[in-house]
Amino acid sequence: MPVRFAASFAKPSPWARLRAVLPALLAALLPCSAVAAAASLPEVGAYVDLAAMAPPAMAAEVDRLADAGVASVRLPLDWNRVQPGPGPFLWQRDDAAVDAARARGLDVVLVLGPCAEWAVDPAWQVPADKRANSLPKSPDLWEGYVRAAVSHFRGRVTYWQVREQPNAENFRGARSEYTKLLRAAARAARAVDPAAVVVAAEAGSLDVGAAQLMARSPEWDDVGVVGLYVRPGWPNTSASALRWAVLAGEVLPSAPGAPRPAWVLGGGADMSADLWLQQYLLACAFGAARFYLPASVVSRDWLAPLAGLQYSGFLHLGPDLWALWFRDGSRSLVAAWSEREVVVAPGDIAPVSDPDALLRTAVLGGAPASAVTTREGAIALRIGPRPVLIAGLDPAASASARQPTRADVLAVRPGPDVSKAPSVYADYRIAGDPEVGLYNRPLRTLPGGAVTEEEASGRRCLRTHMRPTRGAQDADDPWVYFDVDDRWLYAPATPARVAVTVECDGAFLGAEKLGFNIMYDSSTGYRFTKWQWVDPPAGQFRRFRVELDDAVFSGRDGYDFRINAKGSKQDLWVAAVTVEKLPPAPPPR
Amino acid sequence: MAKLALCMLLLVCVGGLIAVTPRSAAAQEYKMVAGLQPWSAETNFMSLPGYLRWMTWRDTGVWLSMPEADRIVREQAEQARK
Repeated sequence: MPVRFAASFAKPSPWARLRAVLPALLAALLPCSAVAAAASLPEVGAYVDLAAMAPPAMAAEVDRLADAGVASVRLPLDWNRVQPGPGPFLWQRDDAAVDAARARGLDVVLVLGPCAEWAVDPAWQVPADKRANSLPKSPDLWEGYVRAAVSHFRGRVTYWQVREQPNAENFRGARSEYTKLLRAAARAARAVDPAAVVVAAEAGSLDVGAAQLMARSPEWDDVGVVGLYVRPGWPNTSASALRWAVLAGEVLPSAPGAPRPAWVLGGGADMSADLWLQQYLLACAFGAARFYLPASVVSRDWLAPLAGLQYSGFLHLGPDLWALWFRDGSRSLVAAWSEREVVVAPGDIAPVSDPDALLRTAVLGGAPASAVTTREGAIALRIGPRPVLIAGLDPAASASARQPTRADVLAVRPGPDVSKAPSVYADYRIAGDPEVGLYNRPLRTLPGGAVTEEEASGRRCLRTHMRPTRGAQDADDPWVYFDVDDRWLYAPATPARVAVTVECDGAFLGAEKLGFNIMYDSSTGYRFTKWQWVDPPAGQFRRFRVELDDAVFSGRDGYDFRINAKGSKQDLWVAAVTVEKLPPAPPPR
Repeated sequence: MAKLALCMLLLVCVGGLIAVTPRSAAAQEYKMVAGLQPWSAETNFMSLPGYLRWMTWRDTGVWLSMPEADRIVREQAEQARK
């Protein structure tokens, strides 16, 4: 019954009239597995460097976090702090931090890293202020640090995270170098403490493709917990809900061995409180076991309204309203938010059983504001990006709440549905909306991607901007980014075969002065196709077709592929780009 | 006239500063350059480590040292062979 999920409050559907009988109807029609069983919410934790604080401040912060209701803390075990040189370990400050947290009943997760600066190979010429982001020159040094740490904290700490989000900023190494550290840490830790559990930190943000790759790798045996990060900048809630649905509904359940819990380890530094709350609610819905917030975001007001609740299922999936059912004994509550400010009648969400309780509907997250307002003389709810907790709705309606799949999330995407289209394309001859399932316009603020739409040889094109002047070359815009509509292809777990056809104008500077390749999201990260020269004559548009056998289009960094014209001596004029699906490759003989 | 020239100079300086500052840098993984032809158009006539350094800076604002980039490229080549 996906119709229920696709319902939009901006456009009331005939289903509203059936709402009174819908729960019973759905309960009868839905398979049992489609209805989410009540599940405990993720434990909320905080990440903070307690050991860097003076003792009184540390004690005060631990008290504040414990009083606010956090269950655990994630603390960096800074290698530079505990071993400032290649000599003995100094544990006093971290001992104090771990013991203070444990004394208040908080579980402690220690993060192994950042790297000891003295352990970095001087031959790598890493700038002094970036050495902590590097990696040790020898596995022995790393294993020695891990063994010493796990041995010292044995009995007090079970979970050991390997480095903080190993992206280009935090980890100056290849993906394979991270997995080597992970494997070495797991083996060294378990040799000292068989109960030790290793937490693998993802480099991206809810990167489904990377999680799938990890789940299929030999290092999966060493992973005890899958560590995830959320971030701002996703275009809408649906984009993160889609990642959650595929990760929690497809990738992790199909991974070999015992199920690994997923923890949200953190998020972007510039995430708003609204986004933190939305992401926490999504993590509730998709079964994250823990959710770590920056300590500065944690407050009693944030956590208290959600304490003791159990998640029952989604009632509405965007785009105008996201609503999740929660239960607390006999009490039912609905957490809801909207990506834009809307005013809705409570009855549009579910039948009201307790009007007095409905009046207590409040904005979550430390803002003691009521979400109750009036519309046309009747009680209504004002809902925006900051989630609200709605009381007084009929508990029987929770029978229609269910766990969404990838298809459910995609069904509520705004814009024309291209899921059944034979291809997606961007053809700039088309006036109005030239991008049909293949989008460049929203991506022109990405680095090097400020292309412009201009006329060339009588056709409207996308124009790159190469700057041949010495000293200005690094400020050019050689990249035409594209995002394929997720409804047409979202392939983070199983690489897809696609063909990309680029129609562009020829060179006027001579042969081998203009060319491009395609940098695309693959199962091994972003990689390139072979270089294609676009030779003279100019004024004649030609088509170049390239086949990709391992496209993993999941918008990992906000896009699926980019046309790369860097290396050209003149601008590239792109009139149209088409992406089509290819049948699976025949098996090798 | 001198004031106008000074204003123009300031505008050029500020414009240049804005132009060379990477836009909306976001932390990402390194791009896979293994398999590209070094010193050719597809690496903007750079070595593979040089191209990785340049592209990482454009994408994320992080400058790798040359030996680091060399090490990462070797790791990528090993990964590509598997």
